Amino acid sequence: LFDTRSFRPVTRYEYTRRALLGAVAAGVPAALAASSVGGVLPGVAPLSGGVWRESRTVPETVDGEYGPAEVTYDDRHVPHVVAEDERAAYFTLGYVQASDRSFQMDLLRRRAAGDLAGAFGPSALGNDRFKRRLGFRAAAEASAAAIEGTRAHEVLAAYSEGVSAALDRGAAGPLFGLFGVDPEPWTPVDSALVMLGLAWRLNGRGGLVWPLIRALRRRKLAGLDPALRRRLFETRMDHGAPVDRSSSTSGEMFVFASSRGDTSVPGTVGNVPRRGDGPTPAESRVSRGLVEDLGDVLPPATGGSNAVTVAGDHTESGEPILANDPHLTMTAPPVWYQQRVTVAGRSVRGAAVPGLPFPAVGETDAGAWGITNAPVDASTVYTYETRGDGADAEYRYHGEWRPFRTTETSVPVDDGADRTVTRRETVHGPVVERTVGGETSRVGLAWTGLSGTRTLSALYRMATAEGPGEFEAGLRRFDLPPLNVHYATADGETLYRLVGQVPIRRTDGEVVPGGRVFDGSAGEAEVEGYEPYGRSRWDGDGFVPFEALSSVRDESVVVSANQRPTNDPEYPLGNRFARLGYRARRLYDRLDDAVADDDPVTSERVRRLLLDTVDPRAETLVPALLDARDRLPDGADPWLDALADWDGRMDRSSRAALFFELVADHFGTATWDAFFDDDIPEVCRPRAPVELTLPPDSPVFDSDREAVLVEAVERTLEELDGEDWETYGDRNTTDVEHLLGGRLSGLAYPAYPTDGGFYTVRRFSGSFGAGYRFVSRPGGSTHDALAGGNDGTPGADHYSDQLRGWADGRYWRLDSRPGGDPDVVVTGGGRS
Amino acid sequence: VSVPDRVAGSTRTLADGLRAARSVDRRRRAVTVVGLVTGLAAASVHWSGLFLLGALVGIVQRSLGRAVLVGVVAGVCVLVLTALLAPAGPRTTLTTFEPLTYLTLALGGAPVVGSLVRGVV
Repeated sequence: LFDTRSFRPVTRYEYTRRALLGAVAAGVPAALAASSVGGVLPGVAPLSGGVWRESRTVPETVDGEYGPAEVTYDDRHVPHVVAEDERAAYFTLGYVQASDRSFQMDLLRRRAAGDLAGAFGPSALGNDRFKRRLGFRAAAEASAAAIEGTRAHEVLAAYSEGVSAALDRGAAGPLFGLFGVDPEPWTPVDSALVMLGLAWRLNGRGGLVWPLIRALRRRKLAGLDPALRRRLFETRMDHGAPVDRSSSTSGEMFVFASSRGDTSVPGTVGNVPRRGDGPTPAESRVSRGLVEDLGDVLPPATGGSNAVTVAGDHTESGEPILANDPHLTMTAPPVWYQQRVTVAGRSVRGAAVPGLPFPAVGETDAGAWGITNAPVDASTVYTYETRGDGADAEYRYHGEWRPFRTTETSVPVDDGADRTVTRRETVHGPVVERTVGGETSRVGLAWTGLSGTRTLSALYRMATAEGPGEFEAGLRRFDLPPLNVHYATADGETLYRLVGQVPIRRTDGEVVPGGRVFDGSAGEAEVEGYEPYGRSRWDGDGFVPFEALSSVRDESVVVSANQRPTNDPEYPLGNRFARLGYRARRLYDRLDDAVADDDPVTSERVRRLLLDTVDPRAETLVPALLDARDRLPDGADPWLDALADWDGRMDRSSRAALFFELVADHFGTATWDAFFDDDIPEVCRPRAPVELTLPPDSPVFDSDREAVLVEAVERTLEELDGEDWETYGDRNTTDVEHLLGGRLSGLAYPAYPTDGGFYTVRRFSGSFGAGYRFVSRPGGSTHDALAGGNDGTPGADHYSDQLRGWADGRYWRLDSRPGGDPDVVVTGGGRS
Repeated sequence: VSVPDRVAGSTRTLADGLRAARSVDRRRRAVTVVGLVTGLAAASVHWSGLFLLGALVGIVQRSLGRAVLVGVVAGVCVLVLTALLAPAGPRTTLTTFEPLTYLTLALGGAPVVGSLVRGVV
């Protein structure tokens, strides 16, 4: 070492000083590059960082190919697209949807296709492997192919071009910059992927996971009294409020526990399948590791969507009223995009999923429609006798050993080498496998969504129908997911329909209900005409005919709220419906009262009804708590006083509601903590609030329900002690993260207190709620509210502008048309 | 000429250049400005350019203390430029991308770290 000026050797002190300074100057950047922060720096570094460079707006004038169109945003940033040509209109819709939601759309298609790691790195590989093993992209391609040649496909293609045009002209905003992602052009297959991803959340996930959980339960709870096990897990409750109330009551049912919670009367015994007490060989092959590994994809307990139609005879205006509030896990930006498209004077308005051109909830001048999830068993789950591992693995089918059919795909990984994922298939479909503790567990899945479905074409026909005939004709193509669809016209007609393809499973020629794990090797539960990644024969013998699915026409009141559609289905539909029908009962009760009193229903009243917060659990739990008062700790006294005067409403200002919510929760946990051993996995426990339907002397409570209540109240007081909560609203606040999760806290929505709980019509639990509320009087006024804001651009004025109003139960007019100059103008073209 | 001599020779040339740049005011200012422009250009391409920027402007200063001072100035320049060029306005971007954008602010200190090179040569 030498001094650069004199070349004299430096002193030891000088040596150390220089070494230290050099280490800092070189070490800091090196350490940054190597650390976990290094991956973020290309996104946020000053000057070079993507978030500082990407624009947030697209040009206001764009050259299209289909003819002119104009867009005017209203004061909630809802675009109103106006064009003479249909494809010009949908090109433009694609352009504005992408300019507001491009990152979300890209994320949705990536998540469905298993392409997340290409943008977000190796941490997303779990999702990607799973979706690729299930072959989601191949399924979406089959769905796009299934509608090729239809008008819907042409319109979808024009929409896709509009999305791509926006991505090309700046809609790839700062979030793309943050991750250094350059989005690919949009295609109809991407829309099919978005549809598939939504259907997976609504139906596919539960269809795979619940049969596995049931199999594990039957293994783990084999020692439980069979009658009690059925009571806890399988028995249908005669809540009296299926969608189609003209259907007769049959099957093994229990009437609802009375207000004192002390009776529980079995109804007639019938069509609930009785099986042996132990697990079947097919069920024994399901490992706990597999179930718990899939447990993180467990669907939320009871759903939460409501849809109501009230016939014109019972409304003040004489027009029918249709209300709908689809519930899903809420995200920023929202699941829904509000839009209005007017083609040659005919307008379609409502809420679409970004990435899809046609609204799932909406209205035209002819009629309005809404949807709720009908968790029908559209999946069949199999296990097999297998031998060998890896490429040599084989499964047995009808006594013969067969190799798995394999397809390899390559997953690109941001900042890493590509990975290879192998999709394995049996005759039934793809196989999900997990190796936990050296033991490989394989499950075959046949889900309608993995075949070519025509739902996008159905949505187009619904949005262009001129009446119930055309609307219903469109519904015939609504292959997935199974839904309750309500329709009401300006002429006063109403229609309810269960839609979606429901497999008919046959073992040795006999129809068997789904919802459990079948022995694929023995040829159980075969579905005729089902073709994964191809064209299934939906009209063949393997699927329930459209005519055999529930329908209701021109009834005074029809309510669907995830409860079973009918008491006596022609074919088995499933066992995943909201068992107690709490929300359906409440809605039917309230509307029946109005009809019986000859009290005309108004739109405003229905809007309020969607905000109803009465918790039906209070009927059972509050009297039980007050009866047990002597045994409860003194600290509970002020809370019990509040409960005694409580109206059962889960309102933000209520103290009683806060206490009640916590006690009800702890009552469930305390019940099952005491009843089950530690080695019973959490997923095997009964789903709340079954414990509230059991008589106080049930063996579940060790014949002393009050003792469990005491435990629940003690746990509640302990929890209250550690928190700053005074009223329900202190705890019941919006908790909505960005789609990317909690790491980007600046993109999360603000926390606002709101009303409603887990079992109320206004279903709300922090991050789960009515993402969209819609009340239409076809031919008259329409009101809606979005849980968030229509513009997904971070930091934009309309990023979360409707959230506070939504939390407060406010609605806005959707049908008013904004004035002023257009915000976006599409020129050129006229190719059509 | 042997290899060690050649190395010593080029080192000497570099050292001479540095010495000249450091001692002649006009030359030092010119080299600092060139370093600033080059460094900012590098920082617009990749984040490591922020450190390079500090090194380029720092190395010709008369002392380590002055180098650090110039590094601070360069860091401020970087942040001001970033704010001016942000399409959505600096505040919106800062708040919407919290907490990641704390890193942006912290990296305003990168040129200071780079300028410590002055103390090594």
